[in-house]
Amino acid sequence: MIYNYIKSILFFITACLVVSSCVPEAEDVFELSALERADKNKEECFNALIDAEKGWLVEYYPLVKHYGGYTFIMNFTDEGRVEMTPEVAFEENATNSTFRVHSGQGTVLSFDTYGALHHLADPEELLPKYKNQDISWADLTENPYVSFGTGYGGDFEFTLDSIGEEQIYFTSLKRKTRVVFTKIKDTSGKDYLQAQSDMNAILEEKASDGLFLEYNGKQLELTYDFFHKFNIYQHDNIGVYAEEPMPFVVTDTGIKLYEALTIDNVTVSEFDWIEGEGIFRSEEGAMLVQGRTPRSEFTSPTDYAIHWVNFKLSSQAFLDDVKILEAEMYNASQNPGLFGGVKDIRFIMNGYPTAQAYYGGSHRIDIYSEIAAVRESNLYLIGTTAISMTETAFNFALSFGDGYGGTAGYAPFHSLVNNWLYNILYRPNVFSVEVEERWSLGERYTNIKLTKKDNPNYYIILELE
Amino acid sequence: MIKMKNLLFVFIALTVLLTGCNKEEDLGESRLDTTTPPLSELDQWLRNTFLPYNLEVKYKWDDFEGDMKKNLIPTEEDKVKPLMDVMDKVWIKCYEEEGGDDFIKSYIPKLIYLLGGAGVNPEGTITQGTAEAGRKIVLYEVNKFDATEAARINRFFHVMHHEFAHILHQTTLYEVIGYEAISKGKYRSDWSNVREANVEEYLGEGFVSPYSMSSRDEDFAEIIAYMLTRTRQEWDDFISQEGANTEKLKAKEAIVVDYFRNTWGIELFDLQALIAEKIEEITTVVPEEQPKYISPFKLQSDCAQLCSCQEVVHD
Repeated sequence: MIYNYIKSILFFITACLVVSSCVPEAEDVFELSALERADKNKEECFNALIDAEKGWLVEYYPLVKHYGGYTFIMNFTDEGRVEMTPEVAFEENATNSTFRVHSGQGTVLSFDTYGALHHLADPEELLPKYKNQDISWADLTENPYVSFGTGYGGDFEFTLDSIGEEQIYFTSLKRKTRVVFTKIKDTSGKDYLQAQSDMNAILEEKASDGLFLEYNGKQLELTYDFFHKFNIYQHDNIGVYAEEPMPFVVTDTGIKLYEALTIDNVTVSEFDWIEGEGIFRSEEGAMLVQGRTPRSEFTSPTDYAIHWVNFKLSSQAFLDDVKILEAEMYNASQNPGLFGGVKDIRFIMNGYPTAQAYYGGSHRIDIYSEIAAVRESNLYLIGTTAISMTETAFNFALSFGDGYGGTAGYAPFHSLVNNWLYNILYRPNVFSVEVEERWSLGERYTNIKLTKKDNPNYYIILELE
Repeated sequence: MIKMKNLLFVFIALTVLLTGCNKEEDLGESRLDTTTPPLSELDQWLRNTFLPYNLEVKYKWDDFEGDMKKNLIPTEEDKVKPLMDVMDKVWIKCYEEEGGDDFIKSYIPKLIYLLGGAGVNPEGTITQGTAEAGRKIVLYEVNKFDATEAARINRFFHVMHHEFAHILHQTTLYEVIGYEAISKGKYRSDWSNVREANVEEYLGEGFVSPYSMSSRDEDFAEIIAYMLTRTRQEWDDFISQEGANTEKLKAKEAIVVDYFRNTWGIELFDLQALIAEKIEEITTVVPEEQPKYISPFKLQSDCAQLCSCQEVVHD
């Protein structure tokens, strides 16, 4: 009993000593208090911003996977004002607005009244385009940032990461993209923007003709997707299977990627324009060139082929029609007025499903298909198709642009292919549509069978893997 | 034994209480920066104009004031003074004149926060303004403000009258039972599906707008906003147009007019006339700092008139 009692007393005394030991002062880890450090950080950031006689070159990516980078020249004053001049292609005027540096999630630079930069954050910016479906529904559903009221997704508040000799590094508050402010030294902001504008014009011209990324003797196809953004495509024998966004900014000497790109152990981050060669070249030897060599599947000089998903299961009657089209297109290509009289022209139609879903009990499949022409070793996209089909309805939309080639010489092919597709397919009352799924070697295949109502021996089977 | 336990408790309690911090540190001056930031000419003007009403106008970005779920942008500085000048003349001074000095100073919100762009909602609709507990009004799309056209002014003051109506009825309730009975069963959550062009769908049911179908209080605030952004004649024409249920709208008008008269001592039609008069004055005077906005269509018609006059002269 006594033993237990003594044990209790000892326990409580120990507990009291532990709990009541707040007398000794804790040693500070930092010389300054948290508040003083925050104030100091703010002051350093503010002073760095206003300490740039010629201003700062700001390369800003509002929403990295969707859009490329925009360049601004910014001049800050100690009265809390900032003059922003956007790059010429931005089509916005220079503005004079206010900024402040404050403590939030770290030290934050806020552009707190409207300036040119805010155009990228304006929630109404892309609304009209949405209505015209310039942004795909895939964008809307796959990326939470892209929705009504997002605009280009830009920020106008940046968290300070670090201050260097010539650069200040920020991270945008909402989207967490890297924002680099580079002090302008050797040139004036105006001269830089002029040189950058000239470079932009060169790039636009080259990109409109189709560019390839060439490295280690291989080529990857690029499409100029949006303002200062390429998409890189890699193809297999059937169609497009991989697409990678490659956002960049245009500099006064070439282009600079948001993130270094590594393919087959070659890493590139910048390309300089080489005037004499008409290409953009990186230090590592990678180049952006206009299309030269074909994809691997088009190497045979005599072949010309049409692939449209996999219609080998279709009836002979349909395949006969395909052959007629092939022959007509081949004959058309012999016209010396087309493609400068070069006869080696082949046509390819590659398709792939973009969506399969059940809507209200109906199986719907969407297919995106490319129609391309190959001349010598260059590939030209001459049109695209968007197909949507269910068991009861077949919708077919053709879109013929000038393609990568950008010349009017493709017009006869447009009409040829258009007429053929229209005659064969685009007749709602001519075909009945059946959809079935089958499994082969563990893979699921979806077959869509279009059968002519007046002739059951004429059918097309689109086999989607 | 119990005594021993008590003694032990007292001992522990004293140990805990008496062995606390034994040093008092001088906390010194506050490290928080409470100095007034440098005021621009615009800041000074806002202070001088609205301080008598204890009204703060925030036009610089402050993410704590806006709706954090939306993508919003700050105002253009150049838009602030023209808007707030008109706000003073058309909204504050008119209520002050009709309702008295105490009325406006008591119920005017304490903060107006201005935002440059629209408040776009996920379903594609746009919020033009919000009011919070009678204390704050957030006004969107300030960058679109143009002080030289009545329609553009009224677009903003529709929001102000609407939100101020909420402040008033949240302070003293109107005759809700009678009011709700007029359109009983017609309020609907899918009001955004009603198109403005289909006037019969809402005016026909005694609502001034699709939004007023969303709830009784929104209906009440919308009636007030519609009345105060129109002249008496325009209002009468509006509720008498083809397809409108004039009887229901008149019944709602009567409750609103009674509410203002009996609760706030304001004759709503007098206030309506005064506001219309002020807007007329503003839109007919071209401000020095802003060029008069001329619609491209107006320009074409002026040109056509001018051309035809010249032809007459030549003839």
